[in-house]
Amino acid sequence: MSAAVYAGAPPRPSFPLGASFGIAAVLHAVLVGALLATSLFHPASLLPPQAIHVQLARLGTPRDKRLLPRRPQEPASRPAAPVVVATAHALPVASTHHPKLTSRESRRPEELLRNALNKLQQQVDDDRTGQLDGFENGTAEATVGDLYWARVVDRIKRFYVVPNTIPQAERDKLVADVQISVAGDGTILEQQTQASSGNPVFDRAVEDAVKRCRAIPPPPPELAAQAREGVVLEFRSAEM
Amino acid sequence: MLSIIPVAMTALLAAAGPPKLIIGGASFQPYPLAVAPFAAQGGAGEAAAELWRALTDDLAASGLFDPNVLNPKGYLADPHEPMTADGIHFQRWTDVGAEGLVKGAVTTAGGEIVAQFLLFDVLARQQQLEKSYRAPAARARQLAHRFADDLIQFFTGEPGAFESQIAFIRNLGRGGRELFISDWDGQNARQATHHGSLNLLPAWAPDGRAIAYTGYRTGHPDLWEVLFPSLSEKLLSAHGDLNTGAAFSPDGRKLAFAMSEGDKDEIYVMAAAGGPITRLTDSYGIDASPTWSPDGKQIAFVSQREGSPQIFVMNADGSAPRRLTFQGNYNQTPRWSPRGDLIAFTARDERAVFDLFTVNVQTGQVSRITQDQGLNSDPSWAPNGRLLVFVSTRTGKSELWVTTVDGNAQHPLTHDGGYATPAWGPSFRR
Repeated sequence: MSAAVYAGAPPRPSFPLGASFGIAAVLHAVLVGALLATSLFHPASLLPPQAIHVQLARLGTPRDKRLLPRRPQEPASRPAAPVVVATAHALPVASTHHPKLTSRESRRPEELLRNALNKLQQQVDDDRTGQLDGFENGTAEATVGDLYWARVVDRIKRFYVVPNTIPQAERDKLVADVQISVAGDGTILEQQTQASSGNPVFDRAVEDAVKRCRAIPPPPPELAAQAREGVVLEFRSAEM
Repeated sequence: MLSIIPVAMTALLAAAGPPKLIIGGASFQPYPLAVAPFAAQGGAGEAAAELWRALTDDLAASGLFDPNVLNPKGYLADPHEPMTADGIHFQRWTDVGAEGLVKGAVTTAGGEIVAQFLLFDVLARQQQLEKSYRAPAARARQLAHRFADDLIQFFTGEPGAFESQIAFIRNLGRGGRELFISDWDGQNARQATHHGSLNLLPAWAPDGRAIAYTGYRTGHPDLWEVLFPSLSEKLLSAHGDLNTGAAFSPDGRKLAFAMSEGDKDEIYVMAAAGGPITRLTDSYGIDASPTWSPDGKQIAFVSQREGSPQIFVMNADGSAPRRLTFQGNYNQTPRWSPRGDLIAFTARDERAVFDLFTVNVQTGQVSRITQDQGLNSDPSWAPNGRLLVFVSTRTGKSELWVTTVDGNAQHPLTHDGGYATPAWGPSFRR
């Protein structure tokens, strides 16, 4: 190496103009060929993406269709029952010595309470409808689509609350699109309403839902770039 | 140099557009509206408090507004806060979660109560609605009901139902079960019959000027009609062994009812003014409890023709009967929604408990309204089809309750027991 190399920029190699055009032409040919191959073997990847409709499934066994339906949750106005909490402090402690209990004696209040709660839980489980292979916090009867997007939908749905004052006639029709940009840790970096529903109350509720959500599950590495680039959330007022 | 290819591919794919996730099924929740205590002038303090209670009760019962925000018990509302957008400390209302705010001023003038109500958008910090009404002091609560209906109209674009009345049967003891009418919320109750005998199943005429009911005043279960405001009565039908389940057609010209004669229990129709009766059904099982569709073209009813009591629908002339419910084995007391899409009914579930349900007339889908709260029966629709009044034993006594169609907001109307078979009357403002 000469001192001149360290003192300034390296000298550009002189390249014939014709050869440059030739290489460019070859590269373009390769690129066009790659695109053609992609369109032949993976045509869907070059089309505008289809809307993703994914939902997690619900835990439980399907309810007999001949029976009248049961409500998924108690009405809000039901008087609150007193909460029984079993703690160590609630039990009489006579000494630090614990004599061995017989099987009959062992059925003391805490065990009876535990059994009662288990029985109650069993009854609650029996009342839940859904598929056997569903997720406990699932929201639908079906299992479809990609698990990550399903988790994203499930997360956002928790914040998807719309005022009850929206007229009944509009509840089956409202649709609004919000585009979000997501960081690698799942934080929502930006949000922008792309399409209004035409109902300002619904639009505001949808924007609030995304704001309150703040973050979605961190995208897997293969989806991180896509999530940062943008994901459109299409909010529909009607049940899917 | 070849690394340009995947880069170009990624750019091309990105140009195709971002992925789109569809999020359906909004959770419709009550709107956070706060109602500040009303300002009172000229000795109207008691009336102001009464109006505030009536308005907040109406709004809570509507199921449209968050009960935790409606009532400022949980936070301190400044009684001297101005009534104008310039003077209201909106940040305080935002802090308690309110997005809307109602303020009111009540005064007296010439023996009347005068009320001014204002609605504000807390987030936008601006006034949205202003209403002023006046009424005799004895009817002051009607002002709150009127503003509640105006709020419902403002928020939903649909009419409210709080300027209306309900009819019901009350057990007065010693064999007397009499017909009463009251404001929609059970207040201002007035006794309409004084027979000292059993009366059942009141049904309002669409214009609110009469109620038909089954009465045993002669010892025989006949159809009677009480007229308002005179409270004079008229015999409509004394045929067969039992006349019951009267239902006026939506135009008020016809009356459908169930009549038993021998071993036949069928549905008949007659002119509302009285006259000859025409049989609509003819089956081996019991047919009872007719209810008209809002367009008057169909009648839903209970029939045992296929074994267990189920809800059926037929044309108003009795033709083309079809079974509507296939779930449960004891479905009864159908009531067709004024909106036409749903029929509310009482059903006994697999736990032998009676609860309220709706069935969609088009799809047959059955939805549950009440659950695990005593016995619930005899639904009757509010004139706007958003609420139902019904009987519940959840407190140990037979009381009147009101519920939203989805069952998410249920409120008691009475507390002293002995209530049965309510019927929600037409709205005063139609």
